[in-house]
Amino acid sequence: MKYLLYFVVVLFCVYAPQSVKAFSISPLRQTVTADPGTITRVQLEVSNDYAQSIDIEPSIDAFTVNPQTDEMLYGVSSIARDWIQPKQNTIEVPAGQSRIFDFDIRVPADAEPGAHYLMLVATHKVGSQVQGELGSLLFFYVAGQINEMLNVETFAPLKNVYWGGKPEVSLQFRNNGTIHLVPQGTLQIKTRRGEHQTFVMNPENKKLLPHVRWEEDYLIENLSFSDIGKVYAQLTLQYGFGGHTIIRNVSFYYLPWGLVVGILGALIFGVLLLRIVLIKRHAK
Amino acid sequence: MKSRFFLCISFFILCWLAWPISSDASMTGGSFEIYADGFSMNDASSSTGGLLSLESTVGDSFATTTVGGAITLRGGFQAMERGILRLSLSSTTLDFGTLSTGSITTSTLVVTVSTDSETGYSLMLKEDGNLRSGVHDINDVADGSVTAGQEEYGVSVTSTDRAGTLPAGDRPIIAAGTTIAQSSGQVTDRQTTLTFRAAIDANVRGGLTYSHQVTLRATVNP
Repeated sequence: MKYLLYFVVVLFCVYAPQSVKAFSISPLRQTVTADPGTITRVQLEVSNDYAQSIDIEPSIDAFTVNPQTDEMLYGVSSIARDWIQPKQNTIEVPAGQSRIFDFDIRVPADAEPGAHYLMLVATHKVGSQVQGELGSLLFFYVAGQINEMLNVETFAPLKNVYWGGKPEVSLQFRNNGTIHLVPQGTLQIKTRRGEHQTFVMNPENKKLLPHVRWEEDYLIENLSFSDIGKVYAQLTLQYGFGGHTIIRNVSFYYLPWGLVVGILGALIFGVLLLRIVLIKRHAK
Repeated sequence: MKSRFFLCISFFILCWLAWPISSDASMTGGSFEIYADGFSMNDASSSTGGLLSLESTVGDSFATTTVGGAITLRGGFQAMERGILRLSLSSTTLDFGTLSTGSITTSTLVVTVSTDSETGYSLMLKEDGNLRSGVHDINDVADGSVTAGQEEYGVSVTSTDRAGTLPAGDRPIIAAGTTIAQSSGQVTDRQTTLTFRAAIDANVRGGLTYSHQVTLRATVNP
């Protein structure tokens, strides 16, 4: 009986809940499509794991994402930030409890259809110098006909002639539409021997948000002496629910200097040899 | 007899239809709402019904109609991914004590994040302005290292989730915010240690209390 008591005490010590001081939110992300001229309500639940009550202040922010680094950028301008108002200012969340924050989205009657990338933010002022915030992503769409437009701004080799090394092709395109896109496609490299290399674009299905530029440089590997001559790069880019396709072609010359010098040397040697032969014949 | 039989059958059908069905997901008509705990950002599947298409990826979740190549978003659609995102901070203050020209003073803050989001989280650090006292301030570090005897203030970040975009060394804190830690999947009690470092030279006005407010913001990745 005594050992059983010890066991229970030890078990309690091992599994006793740790003192967690944190606050949390849910949902993590939500999507809303609303018609112009309507009011839609979204909610954010904040839970308090602290031992004492905490004050939470709701607010709105807008974000975008850098597709090259996957870094989220906050505080970007968005007209839709002004459409959303938290119903409450600051709410006291008692220890161990949760509270729901309401946000009303009032879409103006003349709002343009399209996407807005927002964040419902819960701020906990821990002290005068430190505060913690949790953000719930809100993908907000104004209903109506949307515009899917992707413009290729740059698609070119870095040099027109490569005297060896690894040629590089630069690609930049921008989402000029009103909704995010998931661009996908291929970049095919062809030499005089046929298809040399194929790059698959965006295999992770990354989103390209409106007004954001995609930049990528493609390094062409393993070109050999036998690939000498004109090299073609064909871009096939697909995007959007409308199934849009962009095809672009560029070319450059791959002239490895070792081979070029060899050919030139052989030519000069041949010419000299021919000349010597002709001189000797002429002398006879 | 026949009417009793039909009454019985109707009762059974009514009971069957009215029986509550346990489900994590729910969908209602009209201004409908979808709770979508299992939504994945990389799920490109879609369900279609006539002209209406429902893309089932959070962020991509919207009802569309396609007429003659034009895409029209349908209003009255809501979807959400529940889950949890938790943040805790180890300290409520940044306490450097008294600064002196001969040394670097530090203050440490540990940020702990947990989330069950499949896309992971991002942690951002921002400030409301330079470390200051009225019009006097301490300059942000510019050379990647806070050095004793120089007027410099910055933060170094240590974490297994340290953002790849964050250069090494002591970094300045900026008002627009900098991503300091990132994960690409679920994490439990993942800690990021911020070591704030301050140093002054003889030109920094003494006898004042310098302070500013820093904010740590965690969100899930889109």
